[in-house]
Amino acid sequence: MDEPAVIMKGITKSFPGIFRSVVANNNIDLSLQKGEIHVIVGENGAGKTTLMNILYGMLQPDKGHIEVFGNAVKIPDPQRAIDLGIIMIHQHFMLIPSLTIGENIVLGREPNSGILLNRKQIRDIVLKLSTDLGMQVEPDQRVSDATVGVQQRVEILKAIYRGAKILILDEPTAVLTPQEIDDFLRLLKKLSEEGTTIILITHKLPEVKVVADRVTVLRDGKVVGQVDRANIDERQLAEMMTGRPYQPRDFNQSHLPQETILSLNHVSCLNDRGLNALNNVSFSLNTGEILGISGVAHNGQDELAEILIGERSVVSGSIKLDHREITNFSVRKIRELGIGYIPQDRFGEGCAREAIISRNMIMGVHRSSRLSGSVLLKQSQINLWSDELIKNYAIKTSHRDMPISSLSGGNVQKTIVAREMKMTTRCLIAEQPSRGIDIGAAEFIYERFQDLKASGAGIILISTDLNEIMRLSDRILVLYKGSIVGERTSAHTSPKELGLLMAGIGWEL
Amino acid sequence: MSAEKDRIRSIKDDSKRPYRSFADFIKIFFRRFRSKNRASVLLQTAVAIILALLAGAILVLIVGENPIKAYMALAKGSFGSWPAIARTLRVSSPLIITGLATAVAFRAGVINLGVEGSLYLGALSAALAGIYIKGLPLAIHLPLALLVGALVGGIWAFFPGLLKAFFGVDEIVASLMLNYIAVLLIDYLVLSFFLDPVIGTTSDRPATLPIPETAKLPFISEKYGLTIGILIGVVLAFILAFMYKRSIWGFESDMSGYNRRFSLLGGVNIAKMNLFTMVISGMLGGLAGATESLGVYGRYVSGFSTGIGFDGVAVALMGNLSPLGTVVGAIFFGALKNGGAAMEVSVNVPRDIILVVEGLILAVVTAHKLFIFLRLGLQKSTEEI
Repeated sequence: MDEPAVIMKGITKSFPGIFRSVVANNNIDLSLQKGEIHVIVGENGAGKTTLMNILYGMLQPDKGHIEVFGNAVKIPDPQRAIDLGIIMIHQHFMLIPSLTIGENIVLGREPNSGILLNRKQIRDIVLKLSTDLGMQVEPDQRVSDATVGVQQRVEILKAIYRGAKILILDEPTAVLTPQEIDDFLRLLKKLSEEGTTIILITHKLPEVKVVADRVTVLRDGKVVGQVDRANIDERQLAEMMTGRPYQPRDFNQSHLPQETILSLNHVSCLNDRGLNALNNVSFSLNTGEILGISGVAHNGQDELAEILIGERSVVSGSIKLDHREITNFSVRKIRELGIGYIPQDRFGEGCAREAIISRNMIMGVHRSSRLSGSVLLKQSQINLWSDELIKNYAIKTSHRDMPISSLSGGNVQKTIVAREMKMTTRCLIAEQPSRGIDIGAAEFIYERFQDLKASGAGIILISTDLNEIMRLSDRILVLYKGSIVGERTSAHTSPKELGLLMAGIGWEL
Repeated sequence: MSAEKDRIRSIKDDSKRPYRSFADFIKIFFRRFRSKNRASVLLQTAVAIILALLAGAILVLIVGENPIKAYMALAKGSFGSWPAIARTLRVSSPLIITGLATAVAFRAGVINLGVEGSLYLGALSAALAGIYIKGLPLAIHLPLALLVGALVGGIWAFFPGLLKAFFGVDEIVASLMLNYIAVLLIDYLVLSFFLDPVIGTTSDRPATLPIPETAKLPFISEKYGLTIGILIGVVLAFILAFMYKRSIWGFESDMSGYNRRFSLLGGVNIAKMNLFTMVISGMLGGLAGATESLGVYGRYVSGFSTGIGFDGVAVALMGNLSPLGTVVGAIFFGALKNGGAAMEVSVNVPRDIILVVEGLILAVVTAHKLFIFLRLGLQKSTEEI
């Protein structure tokens, strides 16, 4: 087992910039033993993705060399990496939805008899592969009908079928339910026992403890430490990643007198394809409360957020804010009433990447009397507003008039959060507020949520991350196929129970 | 209201790849067209112009002339003397306004290619207001005629705007096709109802009666056809520049151009913004037409525009969609057109060559942006991985 699969030595990669170049990888050494599960952790911008892109041939290092199974190699492109047995599984699956699972697995290396596809042979290959690895898939099912967990299994089977000896997985569990995560981690262990070397990039430290043989911690483009299986400690890892002491705070349950802020009464709506997205949803949000909405992605969360902010119309039912009807109000009116919205897709929905920071900070409040008159914007007020937010949210930038694209992902998210929280007086809808950002920034945002709670506003936290939901929420609702299938308080539930509800198990109509 | 929102939704995702159609691609390209860094814009444009001139030099060599001599003639013919400058500015005047019309639309992410149609309608209606409204002093009659031109141009653009805002019809195709309708409709109207009986029988270009002095734009230089139309363009450019920098409308317009979905979630009424933008763009197009018929021609002359509305696209793109940049782009284009005529006369270079150089400059400027855009697109896709 002690033969090295990959040795990366002295890898240095910098990206030239106009004013200064960014060193993404600074003299990084990494060696992987054959058959180990090697986890790489680090904050955003620590250089994890760059390093993996170098190994996968998508980027060329400025310096350093790579050995794979004892041979010095150059990897000019992903094709060469694949030839060497290195396969990367991306966060976004690269499957063809209209083909069957079997067809997707063999795509590119189809068994054929003449020019015809041999479907029976495909089925046999896939069934053999999947029973060998102990993961069940149905070869004739279409990928579009398969759950996300199954799709991920298909990706892995496809990689194994193509002869993967070294598997790179980038945040693979972000989209899975807790049960699926358990299965997935078991599968990884099984693969590693059979000799596949696995590199896992993740933000979720609890998973690291379960699965890792060794952990490499990156910070600012350098290796700051390597930890063996026996010595993995979540807190210590977090401190190595951030370079700061890490104390996860226990967030208190609210003690404010509870009054209803927002209530939904038998609300239904359609999705973009005109099908039912929400069915008869009723709940209420109280002052000083964080209401968690959990569920597997695409079970109506997006549509729920959209009807609350006024971007999607409600087909039936009513929404009330402070006992006032706001059903099907326009976004502008709803924002004027003090509802903020942190969308899940930072660049797609949360900001305009071509615009400067201060302009991004006023969208949605730009018509308030503080920031504008009837025709013109009040530029000096906008400057004050932006400077205040930059200071209060410790956004790392040299000036409010820098383009927002000059910020790191975590700082972009902070900019969005700052804007939305500042304009929220009654209710904040936060969708995946910590997705893809590092622990430090996430903790910071959680702290601000507590401040908002204390001010008497309510927060609807929509997240697929159960840890986040359980840690922050006072109450938790589970959304499954557009219906609320359970309400729990954080104190009286477990990830397992929520996971079952999220999978629609134990739900009787 | 809800149906309207759902229709907006059908267009909301167009900032996400993959592009569903070529029209989508064009739209997203223009939406992300603008560069942020002013210095680099100038540099890129300068390099593009130099490259295009070099390519043009090769063509001149091929037709057997000295390129240095040819370009000297071009420079002299466009800026070498007061008459040359006056002629250049005269050609630039309507280009400034059609350039602004295009820039206003493109900035908001609305690809209005119907400026030419608005221009024709504006020209005729302003001329009619000049001819048939009688007994007003210049101070009222002229602004009124200009306003009529702008309004009719705006109404013309209102239709594709309406189709886009409420039925999701692609504005590129709708606005482009309406140009043909506009040109033919106007020829029909002029020939049937408003033909000047004298000119009508002697010229192959049908025209209306002459416009009385009370509705004509004062000349800066009558000899070279330069009217205060150029001042109107420049003043409009400054007003627009101010609005983009300081007004709510400018902010919302730019933001909808950058990221439609983000603006929607920030409370911008995208349907209204689209419609409004179309109308403003059409009004500017109509005004450009009005300054032509009320200016140098003194009547509506059929087929007076040699693609002034379409040239507005090139001008706006060269100006990086900024109003003041558009003025510079228009003057540059005017210089090319005017100097090209001089080049043809003094050196034996066919006028077609200058048209090719014009085309080259535009191609190089936009190709450079296209390159950046595609590279950014690629980078984005690897980030997402």
